[in-house]
Amino acid sequence: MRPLSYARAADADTAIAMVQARPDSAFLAGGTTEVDLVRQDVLRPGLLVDINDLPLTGVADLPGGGLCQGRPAPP
Amino acid sequence: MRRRPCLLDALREHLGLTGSKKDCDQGTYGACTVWVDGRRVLACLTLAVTCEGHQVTTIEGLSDGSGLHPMQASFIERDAFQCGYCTPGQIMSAVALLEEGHAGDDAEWMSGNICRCAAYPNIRAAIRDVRDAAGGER
Repeated sequence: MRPLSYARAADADTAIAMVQARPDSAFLAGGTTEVDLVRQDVLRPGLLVDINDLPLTGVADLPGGGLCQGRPAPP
Repeated sequence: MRRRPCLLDALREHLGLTGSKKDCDQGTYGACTVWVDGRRVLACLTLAVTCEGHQVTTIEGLSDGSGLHPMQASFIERDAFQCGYCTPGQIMSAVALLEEGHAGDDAEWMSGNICRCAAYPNIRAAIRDVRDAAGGER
């Protein structure tokens, strides 16, 4: 695997800002396919922003139809 | 920028914990199944750095130290293996399956663990024995 940088985001806004700031970055969530592709040199991120610890487990209905995945879990 | 070993290589090559097995190394066979905070993961597709601050449990740490875990004993009793290479992953998944409450659909919830020797009938029997000894269907 190529060397890469790794960061754990403290919250969703920070994670989005970090990934927006670097074109070669990517979110790391579940990661099974992503890590496989990184290890095979198919994906070549310079930075992975780990969002696994963020409380993004909810699913919400959107007004007008559709679903929003990764909504913050209800308290 | 650093090289980022997967959890499986960190366990086997750096920590000397060789109970978790490397087979396909791409998340297909499940021989590398371990737990992170009690949840099963494929160690070959988990970057070790993502486990910092989390609790990793391998087959070496499954028993409380006083003897075999009941699932390990059950696999022996039921002869639930042939070559044994997939067995650590099978057992880590099997224990997790019961914890998750999926004992009623063991074929589906063990489907991430492939056994090339096809010991499936005995693997499922071993799991059901432990389930029944623990008080039946959960």
